[in-house]
Amino acid sequence: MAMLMSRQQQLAKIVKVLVLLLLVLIFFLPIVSMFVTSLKSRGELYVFPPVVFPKEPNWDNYLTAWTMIHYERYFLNSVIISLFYTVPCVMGSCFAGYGFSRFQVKERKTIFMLMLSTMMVPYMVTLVPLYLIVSRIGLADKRFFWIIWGVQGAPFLIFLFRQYFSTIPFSFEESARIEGANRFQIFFRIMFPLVQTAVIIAAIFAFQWSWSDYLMPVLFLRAEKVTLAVKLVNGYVDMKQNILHNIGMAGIVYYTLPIVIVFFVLQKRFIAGLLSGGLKG
Amino acid sequence: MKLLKTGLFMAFFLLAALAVFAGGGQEAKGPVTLTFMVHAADLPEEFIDKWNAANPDINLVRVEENFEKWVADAMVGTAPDLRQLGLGSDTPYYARRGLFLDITDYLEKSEVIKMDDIDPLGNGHYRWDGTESGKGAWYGLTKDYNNIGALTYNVEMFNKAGLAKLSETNPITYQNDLYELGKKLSVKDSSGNVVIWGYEIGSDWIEFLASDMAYAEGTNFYSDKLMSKMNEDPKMRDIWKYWTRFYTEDISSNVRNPAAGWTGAAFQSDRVAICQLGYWFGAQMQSNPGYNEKYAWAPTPILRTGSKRYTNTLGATGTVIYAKTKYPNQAFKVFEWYTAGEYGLDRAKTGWGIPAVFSLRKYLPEDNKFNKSRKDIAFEDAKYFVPWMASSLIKGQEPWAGGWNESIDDLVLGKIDADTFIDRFYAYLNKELQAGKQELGL
Amino acid sequence: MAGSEIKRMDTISRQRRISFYIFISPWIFGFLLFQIMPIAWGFSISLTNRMAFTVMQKFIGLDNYRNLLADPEIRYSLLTTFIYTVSSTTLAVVTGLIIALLLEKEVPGRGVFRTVLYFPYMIPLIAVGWIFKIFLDRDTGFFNIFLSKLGFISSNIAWLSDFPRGSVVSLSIWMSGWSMIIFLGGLSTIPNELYEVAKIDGAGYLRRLRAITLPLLSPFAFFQFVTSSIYSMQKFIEPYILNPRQQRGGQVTAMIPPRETFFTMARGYDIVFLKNRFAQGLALLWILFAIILIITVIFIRLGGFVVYTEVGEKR
Repeated sequence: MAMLMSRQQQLAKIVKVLVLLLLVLIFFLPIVSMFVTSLKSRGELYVFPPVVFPKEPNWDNYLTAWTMIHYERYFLNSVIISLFYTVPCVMGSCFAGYGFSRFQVKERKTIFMLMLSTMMVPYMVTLVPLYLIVSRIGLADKRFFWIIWGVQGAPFLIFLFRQYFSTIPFSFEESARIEGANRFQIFFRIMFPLVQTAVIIAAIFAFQWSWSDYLMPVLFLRAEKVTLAVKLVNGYVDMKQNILHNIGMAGIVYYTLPIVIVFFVLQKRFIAGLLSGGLKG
Repeated sequence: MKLLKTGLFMAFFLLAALAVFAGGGQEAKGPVTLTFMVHAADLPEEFIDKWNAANPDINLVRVEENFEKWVADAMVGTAPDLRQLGLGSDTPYYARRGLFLDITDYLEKSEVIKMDDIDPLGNGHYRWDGTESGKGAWYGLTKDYNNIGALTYNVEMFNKAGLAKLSETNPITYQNDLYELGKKLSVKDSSGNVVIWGYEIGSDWIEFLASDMAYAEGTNFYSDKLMSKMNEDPKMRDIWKYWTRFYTEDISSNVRNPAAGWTGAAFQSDRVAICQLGYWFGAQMQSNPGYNEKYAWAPTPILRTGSKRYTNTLGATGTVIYAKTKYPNQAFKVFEWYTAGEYGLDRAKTGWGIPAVFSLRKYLPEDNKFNKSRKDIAFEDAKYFVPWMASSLIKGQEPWAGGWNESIDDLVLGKIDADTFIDRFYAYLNKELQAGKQELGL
Repeated sequence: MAGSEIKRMDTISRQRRISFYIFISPWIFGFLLFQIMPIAWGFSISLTNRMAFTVMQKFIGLDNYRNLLADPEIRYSLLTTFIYTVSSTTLAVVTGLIIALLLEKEVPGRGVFRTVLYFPYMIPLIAVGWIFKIFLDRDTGFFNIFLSKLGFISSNIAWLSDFPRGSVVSLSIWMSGWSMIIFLGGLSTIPNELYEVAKIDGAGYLRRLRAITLPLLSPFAFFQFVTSSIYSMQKFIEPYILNPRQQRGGQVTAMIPPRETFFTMARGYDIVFLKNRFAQGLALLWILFAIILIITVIFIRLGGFVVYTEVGEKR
């Protein structure tokens, strides 16, 4: 495999890097805008002609962004809720995805469509009745509700796992069955490790959804147990509830930092998957 | 990694199952817990702690202010005990549907709030007698109120345009002065984009200002006693048409010339010459350097020369108690404390609004020309407050803003004319009014 | 077939059924408790004239549905939501594919590229809205400053006013990192050997793309099209934040967006929470559901022809 790269291949590589840099530049523009805004003072936000870069960068916006919403406290809430949700959700989705992919049962297609259709029901339809049910069973304002909520998995992830499982030939399980392993052993020892990539992707999505979920925490939790996502939206306002865009942008940086770190760490793990090029070995 | 994950999952599942069956967490018996839905800025933590320390039998908990949550709670019957109502002008709508507690008796017996200390005009929107606002039962009190019709203007821009400062005692007129001033103060650049808006309409408060004008003109929003149909009286239509001119002639921001940020922010960034926001805006302006010299105040305009003065509070932000609260007595105690107790006092000193009770008025700041003039103008305007022409069939602001905004872009872009716009505006509101009528079985 | 073989087949299929249900049991639990009951209740309410607060309620059958479908504003809303869905889904998935293909092989700084391109998706939707609102503002927005400094435009363009739906679509494209990740994962399932064999046979890059990569990525593309369409039809908050109208106060949903971006979900919200016509709002959301269902069924029927799955077994 260690052939010298031909000139053609080298050229292709350079072109690739240039295109990527261009893409990144375009994608980066709004982020640049975000950073620049976070350093402006309130008076510099709306003037005309516009302030392109603030004369004196207001680094204390970053301090204000932290203290204004008591970041530490809500950070903890967010971590708790995200963990409570992500772990059961990934497991539950993986189970269900495997079930839908592998077991040829007559009603499978119907149930799968039923599951998909729950995704299609606009969430507002179920919001009020769900709230009613949850508060009647005494789970309103309880953070561990998210564990129960996560166990059912998410249709998006169930679908994802199903697609992943469908790329694995049946032969894998057949050989294990012949050797006498039961379903669960097959699942945990063989199938689950094979979809590590999907597990990581699912974990990234589930973590992120729960981290940025606004509607459920704000409905089900009272003020102190609420998550960062809620504080981000509600917290950076002045006395008359007008949004402070400059401090808000700094707040976004703080808010996304944990997810960026989680993502960066996790995505290295599926480099391994990419390099090995698939399922062999 | 995966074993850990599986293990964690099992543990959580077991824990959760156990917890649900162990009777999901009741509040401890003993102190009563009251929930108060209010913004963090309007009830800081120190004050909640102070209350809880001083009142061990009432545990006050703040709930994040969220409109959807409140509606959902009200629909299932678990609304927070106290709520900060953004617009007092919504009171007839909710009171009629049995969501607010009638606190007249409590007020009459209160030690902290004296009935004759309550400013009846400023708090007028929180009273409703079944038909009209401003009289009858009390459903709440304002946190503080403001004369939203007062003009704040940029003196430098006036000087540049060669215009004299406005009188602080004699109001100008809508018909003759405001429109002309707005036109003269607007500045456009070479490509026709607006650089300075002469007069910026405060975010769809048109219906409140139109109400003042209707009183002065002797006409009414509605054509029937039930307040269920819009009034086709030409005088009323002309009042609505008056406001459209600001949009079509680019004196205010519109779809062609969108303003970044809201009216106040644009004004503070020196892109607006005149705005009508009210007393409280002066407190917001303190962050602009040199505000004392650069900006000035004028009283709420009158309709035309010789018209009577009518002014408005927009309803004012205030506190209400949920009708189905389990602990009305305790809730009222919190209510008293919030409106007129220690926290009310603290608020008055900041100059963010005129207090609901007369006795707290002396604490308003008057340290410089700017603050003194806005205070004096506010007290004077307060003598002419009238309740806005609310119909209890629909809500305070939302249907009006919705109806206006639905068609205003077409008007600005020239696709329809002013009469068609008013027709569509009326059609939208009539639809809402009819729905309200059916709902209440009238 | 011999008797014992028939028995064996029955046992196998019964075991299969049991295993199936065991594996999807967590989902069933959530479905029964959190979905079925609220959905049934929500549907029954939509057949009445219930308002949010008043207790008077009477059964009116399909009247809500009829009234809504007769309203031209509602029909336009469904159309514009659909147009948005088609454009944003296609563009997001194509963008994700291109980026994933670029980032698949060894490229210096690959981890950094991936993180930067995925970053927009990590930001909560509402915050993304704020960023774009500031970015696309006519007078003070960075985009106009950038374009005019480079000489592309001579006078500032009011992006949010003149291209409301386009602005929301651009937001979706900016956030297409989710698609990139799924395609990256999908690419990892393609064995290297296939490419090696193809190269030996003399296939060029494009040929390999067409013959190997795209077919083997098709389940993932299909998945993305279906799920993205479902979500896009339910798009709600961005039009409110990108609203060029003046906004005041914390409640973004108080001001209605321009007609072109007043999507159906937002209209449903408006009817339920702002106009307090609970039953009618629910009916509109059910209409939305029906349309999403139709789109999905069409996709799945088509998908059967387009998507390549493991040889032999019927999926």
